[in-house]
Amino acid sequence: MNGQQGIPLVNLDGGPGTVVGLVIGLIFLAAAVVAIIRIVKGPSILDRMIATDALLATIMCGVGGVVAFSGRTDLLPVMLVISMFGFVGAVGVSRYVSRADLRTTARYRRMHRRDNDTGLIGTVEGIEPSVPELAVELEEARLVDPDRAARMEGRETELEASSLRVYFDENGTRQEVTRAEDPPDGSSPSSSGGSSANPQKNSRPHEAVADSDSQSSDADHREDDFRGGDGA
Amino acid sequence: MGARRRRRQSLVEQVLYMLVLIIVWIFLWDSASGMVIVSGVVVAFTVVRAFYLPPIQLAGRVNFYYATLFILWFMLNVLLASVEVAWLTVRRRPVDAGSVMAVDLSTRSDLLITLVTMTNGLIPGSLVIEIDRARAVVFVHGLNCADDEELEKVRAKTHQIETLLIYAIGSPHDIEVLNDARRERGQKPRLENLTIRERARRARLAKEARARR
Amino acid sequence: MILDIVSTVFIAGAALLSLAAGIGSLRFPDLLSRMHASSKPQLFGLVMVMFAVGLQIRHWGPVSTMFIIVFFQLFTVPVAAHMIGRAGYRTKHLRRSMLYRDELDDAVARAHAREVAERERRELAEKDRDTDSAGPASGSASGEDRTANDHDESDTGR
Repeated sequence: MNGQQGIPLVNLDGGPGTVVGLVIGLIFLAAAVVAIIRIVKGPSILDRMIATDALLATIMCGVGGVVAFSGRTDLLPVMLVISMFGFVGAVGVSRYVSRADLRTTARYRRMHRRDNDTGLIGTVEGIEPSVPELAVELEEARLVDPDRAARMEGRETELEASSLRVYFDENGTRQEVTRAEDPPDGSSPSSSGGSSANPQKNSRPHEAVADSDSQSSDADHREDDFRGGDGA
Repeated sequence: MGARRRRRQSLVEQVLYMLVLIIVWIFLWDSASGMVIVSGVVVAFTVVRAFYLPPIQLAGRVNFYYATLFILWFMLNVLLASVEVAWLTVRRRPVDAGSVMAVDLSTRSDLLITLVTMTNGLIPGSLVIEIDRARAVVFVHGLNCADDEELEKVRAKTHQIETLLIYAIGSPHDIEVLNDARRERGQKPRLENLTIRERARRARLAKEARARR
Repeated sequence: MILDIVSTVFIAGAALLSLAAGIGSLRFPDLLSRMHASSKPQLFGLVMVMFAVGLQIRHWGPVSTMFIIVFFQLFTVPVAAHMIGRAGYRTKHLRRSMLYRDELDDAVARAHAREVAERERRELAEKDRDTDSAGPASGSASGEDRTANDHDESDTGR
């Protein structure tokens, strides 16, 4: 391959061939300059990496143009090496950036968990409640009774999220609202007087949902922490 | 019997991988002389052993009509989309917001999800950002998608990629799931004769016809 | 002669696509949009340059190297784009609100809410079990659980 020569496209003595070659070269130059502007300006490292990729691809096309114009074929492995640099650089920078922001990637890392019992891989959606009846109950609660759904999901109900401390429920008796930071005294806060739920049914629903085995233990979670990167 | 068949299959697959690597080696050296082939065998063997990857689960069928259709459709779309993105960069009005959409795939196979992702990445205008492997959901970012119809266009493009790929190299189960999904979406299902359901139905009819005779 | 003209047209097309990619990476407002503009049109430009080179050099040797180059780019550009896009989406300071509809965010928020609910349920279950036995270690057990799970969340030194 190194010895073979193609037919040169442009003879540099003059004529229209030279002008065409010059114009094409200027277009490549403009593309490279614009990419360099983005490298300088880019507010984040990923912008710079993208612009570097664009610059490398422009260089590749330029070298290909040189190969076509001058007929020399020993520049073809150069194109291969340039593309390899571009790829490895892009992947390396993106992995570095993914690790650098721990708060968000920790959240994502927990989304891709492995369940040792059933072998399921956790997903972005999270892991469904393992008991199907509870899943159905949760869906029904979401449609009918938002306070119960909030309680099953462990969120705060509207009443808790407000700043009320004392209210009067539908029977007219005085109820106190206990918050999560209050010491548990057996009477969990019931729903507001306006909704139609009965407090007895709502009092300990978290027991029913908590009986379902959570599908990943802490050991599994820690193993994911030691595994390199974000599971990429 | 099943274990022996699986081991023979993986030997054939390994030889196939090594053949592909040897061809790449020959292309790199630009000559197919004996020395290149011998060194290619050695290098391919070393690479396959040293960097052992989990084997790709091929479905064992190739439909050449749909494979050619996929390649032609893909090249046409790359051409059109490159021109469109080039037009977007130079027009006076700035680019609108993009959007990230979730696309449900009908296949659960690693190879097909990877191919759909890569094809999406090659066509300008769509890019796969996140893959939900367990539910086979692919999150696609569409360029210049500021209203619902543009969004549906990108989603339809992803569905089309997946359809062509499954019809080309998908397993019969994937074809069945895809045909159900296509019926739900209102498109015509194709390659009905390959699905397991159809084959079982025909076997049952043939058996009944034989029993009647 | 015709081959020369065709090759020149192809190379000029590749140059224009590269220029469009560069201008796109300058003009587009968002990281993910710039991702689209910068690397994808240049793949088609590379294919065109390869056609031009192939028309000029009509030996089998260099043509095979060109096949390798095109296939390498074909397989690595989408992978690099996907990884950069994923990193760009996950890190909060790179993602602006330039998205019309974001279904991934909904999915992640749902998953996060569900996971928080799971954790709270586990803690409440442990607390109930511990208050039943009335042991003094109940507070420390749930506290340990909380710190083990909140370890990544609170590690925001960066």
